[in-house]
Amino acid sequence: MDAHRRTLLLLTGLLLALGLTMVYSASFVFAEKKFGSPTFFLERHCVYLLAGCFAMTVGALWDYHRLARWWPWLLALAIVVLAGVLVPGVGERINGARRWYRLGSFTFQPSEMAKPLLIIGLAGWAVTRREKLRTFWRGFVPGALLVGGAVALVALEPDLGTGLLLFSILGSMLFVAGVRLIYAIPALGVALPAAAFLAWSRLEYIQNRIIQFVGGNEDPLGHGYQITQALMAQGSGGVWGVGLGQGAAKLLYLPEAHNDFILALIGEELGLAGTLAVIACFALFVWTGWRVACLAPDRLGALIAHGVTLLVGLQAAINIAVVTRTMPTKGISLPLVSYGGSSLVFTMLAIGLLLNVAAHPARGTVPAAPGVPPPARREHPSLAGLPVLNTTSPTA
Amino acid sequence: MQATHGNRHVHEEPAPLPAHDTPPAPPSLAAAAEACCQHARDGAPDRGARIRSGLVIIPLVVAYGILVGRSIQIHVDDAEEWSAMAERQRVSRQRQPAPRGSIFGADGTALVASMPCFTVFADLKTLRDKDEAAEKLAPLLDLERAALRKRLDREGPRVVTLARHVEHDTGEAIRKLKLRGIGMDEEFHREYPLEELACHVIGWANVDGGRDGVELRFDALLRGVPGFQTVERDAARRPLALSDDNIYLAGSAEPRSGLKMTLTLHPGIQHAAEEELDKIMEKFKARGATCVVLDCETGAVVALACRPAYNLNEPSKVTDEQRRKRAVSDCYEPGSTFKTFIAAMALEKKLARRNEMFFCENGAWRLGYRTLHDAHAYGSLSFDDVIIHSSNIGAAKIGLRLGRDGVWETVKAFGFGERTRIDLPGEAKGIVRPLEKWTKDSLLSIPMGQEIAVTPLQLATAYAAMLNGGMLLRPQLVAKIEDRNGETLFQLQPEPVRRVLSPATSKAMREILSQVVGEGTGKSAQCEEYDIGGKTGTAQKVIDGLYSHEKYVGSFCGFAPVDRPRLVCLVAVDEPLKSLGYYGGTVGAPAVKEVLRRGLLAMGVPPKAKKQAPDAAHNSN
Repeated sequence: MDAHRRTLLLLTGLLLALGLTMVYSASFVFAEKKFGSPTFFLERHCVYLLAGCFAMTVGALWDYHRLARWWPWLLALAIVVLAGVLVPGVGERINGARRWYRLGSFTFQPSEMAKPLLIIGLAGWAVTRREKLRTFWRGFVPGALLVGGAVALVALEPDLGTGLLLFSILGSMLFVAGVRLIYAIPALGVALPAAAFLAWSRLEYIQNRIIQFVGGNEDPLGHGYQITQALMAQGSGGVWGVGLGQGAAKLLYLPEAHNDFILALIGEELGLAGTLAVIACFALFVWTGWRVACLAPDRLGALIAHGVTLLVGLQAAINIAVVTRTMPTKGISLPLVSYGGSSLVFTMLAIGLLLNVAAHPARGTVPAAPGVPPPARREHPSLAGLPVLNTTSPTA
Repeated sequence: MQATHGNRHVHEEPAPLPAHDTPPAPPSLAAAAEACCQHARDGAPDRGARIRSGLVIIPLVVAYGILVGRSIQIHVDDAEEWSAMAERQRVSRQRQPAPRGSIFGADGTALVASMPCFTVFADLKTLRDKDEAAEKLAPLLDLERAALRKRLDREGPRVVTLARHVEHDTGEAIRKLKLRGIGMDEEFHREYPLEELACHVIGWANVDGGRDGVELRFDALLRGVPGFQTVERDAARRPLALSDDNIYLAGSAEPRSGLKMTLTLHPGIQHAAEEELDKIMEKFKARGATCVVLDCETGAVVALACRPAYNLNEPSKVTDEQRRKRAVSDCYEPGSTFKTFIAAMALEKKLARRNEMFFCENGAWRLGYRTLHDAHAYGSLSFDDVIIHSSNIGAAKIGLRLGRDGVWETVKAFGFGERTRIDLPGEAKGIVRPLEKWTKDSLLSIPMGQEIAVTPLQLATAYAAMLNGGMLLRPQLVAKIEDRNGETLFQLQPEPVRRVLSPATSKAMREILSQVVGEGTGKSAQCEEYDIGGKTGTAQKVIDGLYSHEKYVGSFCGFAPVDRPRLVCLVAVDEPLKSLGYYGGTVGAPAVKEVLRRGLLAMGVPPKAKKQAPDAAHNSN
């Protein structure tokens, strides 16, 4: 597990360093034009990075079991921040979507905060249910309501990309925890067409995104502009890239170059080599994260590790898929690399939790103290959840 | 919740040791750590959970593989297409106009100048504050504010040209205003400092290139090669630059100016010719007039002037009549000036001798259906006197000596009926009836200068051939062409077309023609400084197929000095008012004298000694 922690830390560090470099490279032209200071985004990114380091440290050191015990409060907090942002006057409306709180000159995205909260919360709830998870009324229904409620709140902002991501992460956590998927089939049969219909009929911009994706780049100046620019940037990079800082997409051609489309800039400046390095980092991260989940000492750890791995890995995959036009455009950033305040901080918090789980030795891996026999493998139904932990004496 | 409560007590008692970073723990600590884990354990993840987790994670890893493939596709397979597209939007090639080559007169006077200037335009799509633009630009462009404002509201093309040929300083002032949506293109425009002078030779050029005259004929040489600057721009269309004056160039080529041309045209002599033509136009109320001055020895065109003329700086205001290059594109029947060629050829072929007498029928020669008339009745005239007194009957009789073939040969030998190949656009061939279509009359008419039409340039060229020793030379306009490094690419050299006469015949003709001025029809060309020879011509114009008795072309072709001619000068006056005078000796000769006098002085030909009486000079010939 030590090796896994080192790997995860190294990968996180690498991606953060690349992100810091590329955020500056991508943003200085835009920052100069819009804010008169080329380092505008770099400075802010550094602040978020420091906050992220703090969050990661907290996540790594604060024993996840103790954190998870607060699951009802964590879930409640997530729901409150997600609901709060929808209230006019509280949430900041940008481009027709209420996705941000404004704190002075910093903005804060509640859906980012909700991701780690929901992961711990859901994991905490799941382990309390243990066997009941497999039932319909005590397991599936509350789980589905929880996930559905959170996803619905995010989708209402509207932020369907993040909603979909959250749905995938939380849904798969329920699946891993043991909720029976069979119950979901009829529910999905109703929910999915309804969601699709709502999305199609009410939100013009989703229509545009889908039409544009299906239609290829027939409209490179209209709705396909951003993705066309992203592909132009990547194509320009070739195998080895045009060189760090030498890219042209940042010359205001590619909107949000430092944000959701930072991989296009990496592709341009560092070439296919850079892109593949990023993909390799995330793939290795996912693999290591999964190993941590498998070797976790308990179900809580496994669920948290699974959720965090998926949070980072799936979000990265979706972002890369968007940038390479493998998927229609979503507003999803590349974790650790993209500029993005709350996303960076809370992703690092989540990674801290993963390190936390990795730090807890699985059964049999703890260096055995002389005279203390390795604990016997136990599968006691009464240990189903945290609330019953106090029934087990440490020396039992 | 109660359970949670209880748990807290238990949990907080042992020091919560962070499990990671734990050094090899002493027994008690390890036990504590183990305890910590133990009590926290909710049961290890079962095999099913691992498998389920793998079911989610492994597809994700596979998805990464797909993304790798997709990246390779974009970065390698389609790279060229995408990067070409990126370059198209980012890189723009800015054309830099090349100044047109300059044109100088033979004495080094600049005949044209290429001035840097700006074309000011408005981009209606990016222009925001139209009122402000109109208010600030109107005084600079010297336009009415309201009118300018109206043009900014125009529907249709996105770019509206506001002003052309805006001077450099004004352009800089406009640039300093930094008006959004107002742009300028740098150009060169042609200015002609001498305005009317030699307008028909120089011609004019606009932004598209030469439009007339030498400017058109040598457009390819004068044009130059435009340069370019390859500028990279950001999406806001700002060029990449370290500062406003230090724009990053991805590629560039300096514009190369056109070649420098020196014409054979002598501005001083040209000016003299034009002054004389203006006087003629004024004095005789003529419809048009033309003057051609050639260097006999080289064929160089020293002056070529036509009236009416126009100001080269205002080409849009020109009428067709003004634009006509009468000297090369208009044909007229030369009349008596043509007689000399017949006489010269008769001498050359030894079909007549200079002292031979011709009976001139006392002014009217009845030939059955046709009667030839002389202006003055003569009895017998020597060969010389036929020319000196310009007897039509005498000339016709000399023509009969030559016969049809001889006259035809004369016409062709002197280059009539074919272009002189002067370097001007729009040259006419003249009209020469082919031999097989000649009537019985033709043999009588052509020696008198009828039934044949020539351009003034053809006539002057033929005279030059007759006087320079008998060699027909191509008339040339270009004295020298130099490239931008001052290297000479072309230098004028006489271009012989063919030998027409022997030097002896040429000398004889010079003597005869000097007597025309000394004692014949051309007395008004007599000059104190130089010996001048020449021949008058007064031709009736053909109006509706009949010879008019009202409309004439009076001409005089003179040359000087007689013993070694340097310049030939032809002045032809189209339709002088009959009541004011129309004989070639009256309308043309004084002008020719003045042009030759000033021309020879300008060329530094020493005048003859002043003490010598004109008579004595003539006797010496």
